[in-house]
Amino acid sequence: MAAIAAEHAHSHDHHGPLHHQFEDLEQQNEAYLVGMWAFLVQEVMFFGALFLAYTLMRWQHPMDWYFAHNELDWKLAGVNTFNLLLSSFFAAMGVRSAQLKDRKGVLLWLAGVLFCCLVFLGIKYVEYSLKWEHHLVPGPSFFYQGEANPGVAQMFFGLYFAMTGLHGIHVAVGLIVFGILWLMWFFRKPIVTEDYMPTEMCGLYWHFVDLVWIFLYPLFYLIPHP
Amino acid sequence: MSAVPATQAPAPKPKSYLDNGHTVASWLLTGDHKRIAILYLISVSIFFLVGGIAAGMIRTELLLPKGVFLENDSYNKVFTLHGIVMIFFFLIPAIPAVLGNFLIPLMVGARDLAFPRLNLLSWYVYMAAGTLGVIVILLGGVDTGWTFYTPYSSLYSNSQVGLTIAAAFLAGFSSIFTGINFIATIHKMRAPGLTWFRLPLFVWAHYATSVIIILGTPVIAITLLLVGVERVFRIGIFSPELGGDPILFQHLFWFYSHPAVYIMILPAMGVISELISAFSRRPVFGYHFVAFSSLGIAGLGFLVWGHHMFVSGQSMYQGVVFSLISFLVAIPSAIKVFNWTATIYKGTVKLDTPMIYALGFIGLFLIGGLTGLYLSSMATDIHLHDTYFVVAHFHYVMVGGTIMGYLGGIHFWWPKMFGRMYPDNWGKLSAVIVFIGFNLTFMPQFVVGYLGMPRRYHYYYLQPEFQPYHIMSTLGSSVLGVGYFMPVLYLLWSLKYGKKASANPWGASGLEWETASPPPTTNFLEMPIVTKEVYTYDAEKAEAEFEHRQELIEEVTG
Amino acid sequence: MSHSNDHAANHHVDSVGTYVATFAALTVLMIATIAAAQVNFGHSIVNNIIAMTIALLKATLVIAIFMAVRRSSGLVKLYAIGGFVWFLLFFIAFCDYATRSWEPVKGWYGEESKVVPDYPHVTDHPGERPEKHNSGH
Repeated sequence: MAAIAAEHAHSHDHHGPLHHQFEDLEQQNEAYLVGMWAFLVQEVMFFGALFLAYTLMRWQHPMDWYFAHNELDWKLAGVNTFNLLLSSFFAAMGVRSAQLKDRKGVLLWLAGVLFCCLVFLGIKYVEYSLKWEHHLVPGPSFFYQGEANPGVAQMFFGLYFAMTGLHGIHVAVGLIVFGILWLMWFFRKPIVTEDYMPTEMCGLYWHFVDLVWIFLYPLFYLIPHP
Repeated sequence: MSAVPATQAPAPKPKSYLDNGHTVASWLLTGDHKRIAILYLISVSIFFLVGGIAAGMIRTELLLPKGVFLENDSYNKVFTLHGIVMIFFFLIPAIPAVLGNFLIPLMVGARDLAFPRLNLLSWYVYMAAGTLGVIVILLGGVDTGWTFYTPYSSLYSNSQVGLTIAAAFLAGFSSIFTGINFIATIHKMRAPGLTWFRLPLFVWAHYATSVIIILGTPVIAITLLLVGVERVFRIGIFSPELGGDPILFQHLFWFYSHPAVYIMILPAMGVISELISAFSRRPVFGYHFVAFSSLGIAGLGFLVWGHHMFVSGQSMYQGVVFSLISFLVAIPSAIKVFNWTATIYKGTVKLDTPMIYALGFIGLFLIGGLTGLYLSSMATDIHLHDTYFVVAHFHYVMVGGTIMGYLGGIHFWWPKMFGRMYPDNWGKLSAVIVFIGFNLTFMPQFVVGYLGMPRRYHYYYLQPEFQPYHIMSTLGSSVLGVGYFMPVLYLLWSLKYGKKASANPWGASGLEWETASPPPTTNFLEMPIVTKEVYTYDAEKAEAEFEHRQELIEEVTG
Repeated sequence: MSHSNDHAANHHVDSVGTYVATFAALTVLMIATIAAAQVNFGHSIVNNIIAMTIALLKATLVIAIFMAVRRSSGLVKLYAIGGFVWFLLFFIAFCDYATRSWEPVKGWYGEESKVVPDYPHVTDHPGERPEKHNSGH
């Protein structure tokens, strides 16, 4: 054991994927995984507070919530849901290729993720701009004439923009993260090509973004008549 | 615990982390957890000074029943500043980001934390938050109280609520980064042979703290974000006139802010476990219980937030449940206190500076904890809610607990951090002054609070009989200020003129004492392998010392 | 060493078929959600339960297979599950809202009085209000 430890103490000189504070790649990968999951737990709680506010508001105003949700386009969002599921699949396949050290595969699958990211943000842009045109963005210009109480409708759209907006920010961050990851694979950086864990961590982040949307979609777009 | 060197080759004199580059860039771009800890030490000290000045203004204002020099509005801003700076910029980062950052890799036998760049980022985020905080002060401050209660904060306040929220949001993420780092490090980077039950209790406490940080802090972040959104876009989430629910804000706020109290106190408890054991020369009594009581406090701490809301209009049935669970928190807290006292019993107690701080902690925390029981029972809370009794209670826990632990830890590990000893007599004097000053400041507040002095008021001319208590409290706060300022002087003095410290000046057990003082950049020249249990104090040696002392006492007393 | 317990599991590579099947299942579940939302099951609670059950199923698939938690160490499983369990703790807050208007003794509040008013801004618009709007009384 001592000899192994001493040997590894010197291994931090070379510029591979191993960082100097770790003994070996094994330990590094496990620490990365734990750190990433701790981060994801943090993300769950981050979105969690919004879900609590959502549940409370909807519980207190079920009818208004239903009427207000009619302003949202479930078909467009359904396309986006499928799009995100597809991107999650691409990300999982990308990680698989990274595990097999198949660089071309990774580049292909990650390009798929990036494409889906852009499609998602594009559809989101269309949705948001329609809301803007219909004066459904909360604030001074808010003007709602539907069946729901206008005040509650504004609350509905407030939470709608807060929750899908925060999710959208996460998608945009995902676009940057996967863009950088793709470039690192493209330029054969050993930090990603010799160790699948960075790719896996990006994948975990992306699956989490997908996970949030899996709940957001029925909660905002598919509200049943109470 | 001890390191078994892999080879017996003569080790070259280690170059300490302090000598590894002297440029500004070598500090500001460092990934070394020890240097980041020093950066944090400097920054939290500055914020402690800012918060302390605000505290001084509050106490001065309360000297006279009609106030001394502040208007209503400025008084509101001063106590808000005091609360926000002390909580978000001092108490929460103080022990984890300074002592935890410095010591956890040393204690688990690692070269660094798992994510050094994240660690540095955490300091920069903290500094960004601090800069925003300073900008808020320059722009006129904020007057909502540190609790940001809606709808005042989201609709009516004309002060800098938005920027303050941004500052608190960033400070939260700085502690989340630290928490993630500690969790990954403690789980995956322990030295060979260092099992969970060989970890020092300091590490256990920081693990529990990190779990609270990642589970709680994001909630306050999003809640404050929602307050900001409501303020800017007028969406009704928390404001009743817009259709929102102010109690929802309080639920979300206290879901974090009650566990945040444990973010402050648990690391201090970890420090105290180390100090008590080292200066009693005995292993911590009931190690497993103390370790698990940290996790117990972390878990129970999440289930008691409603005791801040007994008079808010919350359901009384909910209140009863929260009250009961709040009483349960006393159990793990009491386990700790009993086990510390049992550790001291029959130990060879050495009353060095850190030990005096530790004993002070036990006394003050005991009072703080027991008065908490008055507040967690609903009936008495209705009388005591929002009075100075509450103020005194949480200062006993947060100031008497956390700052005593922090200062005790700083005095204990100062030789390790900088390789210099400070004058011990000055240290003892400061510890005693802090203890006396603290009690003089806050003990009268229990009484005046019970008599009906509300918190956050600066006039009490209808009850001039409160004045003696306020005078006592203000006098005490000046003594406290002297006590807090003394360590700054002699510790800075020691950096240049202090005696050089050996690797283990206190004769304490623990991996951090087995490397040089100050440690080399990679912490250990040979990575340690742990073969011994935790807190192995040499019983024979302790006994010999004990007898030697008895002889000395007999000589003196004849 | 303390950190080399179950490393073999992390290197397992799932087959393409597993991922394709998972993706197909997710798509089917998505269509099921949309389809179920178009049907009136008599009470909205049924719709809500169906929607949330499907969402949970989808989440489980993503977490277990895409995020490879089923092959990960116990520690990762603990964190993955712990996060969601802790999220549920939030909903203790609902005990407050649900019990706020309970009477300690029958008749305590009198016949008409209630602790919590029925959200006056809502009743300001009587024409637009359906009858069933009181929140959990």
